Amino acid sequence: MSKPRRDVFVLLVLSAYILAIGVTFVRVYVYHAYPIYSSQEEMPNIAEQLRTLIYWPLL
Amino acid sequence: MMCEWDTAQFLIFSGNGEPLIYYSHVTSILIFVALLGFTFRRLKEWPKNSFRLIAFGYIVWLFCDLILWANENIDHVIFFWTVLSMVEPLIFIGAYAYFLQFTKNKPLSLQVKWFFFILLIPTLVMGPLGLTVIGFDFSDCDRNAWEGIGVYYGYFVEALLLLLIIVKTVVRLVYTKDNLERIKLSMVSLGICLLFIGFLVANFLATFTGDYVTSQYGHVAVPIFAAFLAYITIKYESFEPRILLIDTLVVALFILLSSLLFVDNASYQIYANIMAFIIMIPLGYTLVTGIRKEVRTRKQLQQLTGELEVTNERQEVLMHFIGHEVKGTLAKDSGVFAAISEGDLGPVPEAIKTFVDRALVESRVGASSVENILKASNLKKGSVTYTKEPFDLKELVAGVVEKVKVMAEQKGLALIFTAEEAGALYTINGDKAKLGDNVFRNLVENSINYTPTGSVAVSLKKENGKFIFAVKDTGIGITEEDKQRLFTEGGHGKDSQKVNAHSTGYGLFIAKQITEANGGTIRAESEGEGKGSTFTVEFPV
Repeated sequence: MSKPRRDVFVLLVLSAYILAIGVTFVRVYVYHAYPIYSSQEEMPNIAEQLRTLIYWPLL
Repeated sequence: MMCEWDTAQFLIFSGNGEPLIYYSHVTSILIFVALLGFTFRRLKEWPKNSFRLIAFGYIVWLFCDLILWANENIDHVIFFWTVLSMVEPLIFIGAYAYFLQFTKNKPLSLQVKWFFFILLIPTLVMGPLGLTVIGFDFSDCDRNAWEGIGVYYGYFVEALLLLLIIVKTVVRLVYTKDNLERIKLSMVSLGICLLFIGFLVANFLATFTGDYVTSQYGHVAVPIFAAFLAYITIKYESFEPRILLIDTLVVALFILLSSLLFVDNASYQIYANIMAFIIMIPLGYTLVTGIRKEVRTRKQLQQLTGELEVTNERQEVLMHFIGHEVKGTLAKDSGVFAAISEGDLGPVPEAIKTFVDRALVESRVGASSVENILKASNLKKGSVTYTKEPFDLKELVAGVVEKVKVMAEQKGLALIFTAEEAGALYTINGDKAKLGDNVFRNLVENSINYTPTGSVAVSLKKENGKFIFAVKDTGIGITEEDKQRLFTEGGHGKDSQKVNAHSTGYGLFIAKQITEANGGTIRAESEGEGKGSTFTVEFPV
């Protein structure tokens, strides 16, 4: 009995979500790695956020 | 900064959120759970998965949102806000997949699945990197997080999918010719768009109005539209717009009335609402069941009509076959009887010749009857062709009268033919042979057959731009009852077979069909039983 192909795809999406949520969980609850801003000026702008996104594998 | 926050119990119970938040979120979660249970058994495998994705995604989203409303813990706010933002595109992907599966009526292709996965990758990367929720906002006591480009990307995915649904719907509506398919498509697209809009209203209305509480009603609308979608899918095979419309109307009225019970505080208004709600239950039930019954009956009737048409067609073919066989046999018999009677096979004793002559007449009459039935059948099917050419009507009628003169003489009837001078020839354009045999001869012979004593007067005149042919007899006449079925297929007069045993009832039907096919009209008049009758045929000059 061969399993339908869609199961593989569902498993892939599910694993990606578990991994992403797992990493977020560790970042938030274990390392508390998030800033607390008391004003908008302190926030990174979109350019800074994009830079983080592009260079994240090097971080 | 000192903020007065309640400490949440079990993540979601605190005084930090308005009671309406619990009402909208918990109600929606419960409706979705019920829908999942209900649709699990009723939906097909492939739209079921998409529906499952919408339902699970939305339940997770609502649960995370409830935690955010109730919680004061910064870790919880950051974490659940991120999860909520990562799950949101998944709900929209589920809705789009549902749209694709429903409209194409097949499971998703691998390419589409990969397209979905690629769309999700940025969301799945930006969430853990802290680009979806970039930090906690401590500028006030609202317990908000700062949203980053991950959230904007989510909006982009939602807008893209909504746009794709609208474009695909419009394109398919343009190219689909089937009206029922168009209605189905419009319904599903409308359901999905309303589901999207319900969600967006709940999320963004507050941003513009500042009323975060009332906007939560949008969350109750979402499972209602999801239920609408599931309903359409279940009804897909037996889709009936009238049933769908009436069901939707009744459910909408129920929702409206039940929500009024919770919203209105004036006591007299509540009593009125309760009364309306109670009245609505039997009325709604009667309306829905009544319409369903009517639609079902109509469908059965359509099916039976279709079956009847097929049966009629088969019967017609069978009758044609039998008719031809019988006609062939009778024609052969006539040939044999004629040969015997005329002495071709040797001398025949007088006693036998009398029988043979009678048999010859009977078989000729029989063959003529069968031929009439076959002609009527061909006329009904429209398979008769006409060779039209100009000819002199007066000459044709005079010839017919001449041919049947012997018949009248044998019965002792006076057969009179008069034709007014028209100043020109009685020239008409038509099928001379068919009009001569099946109309004029048939009418004159009929008059002779149904006139025991007296006379048959055939006349031809030109009046009011018409050529008028008439046969007037002093025969048995026509009752009012007989007039109704005179020109119908097989339409005998009530006592016609007592006078003419060989009447098939097809002669006048054939005469009418041929007259009308040649641009004329035919009618019969009689003052009643025993008072004679007049058959009139008119052709435009």
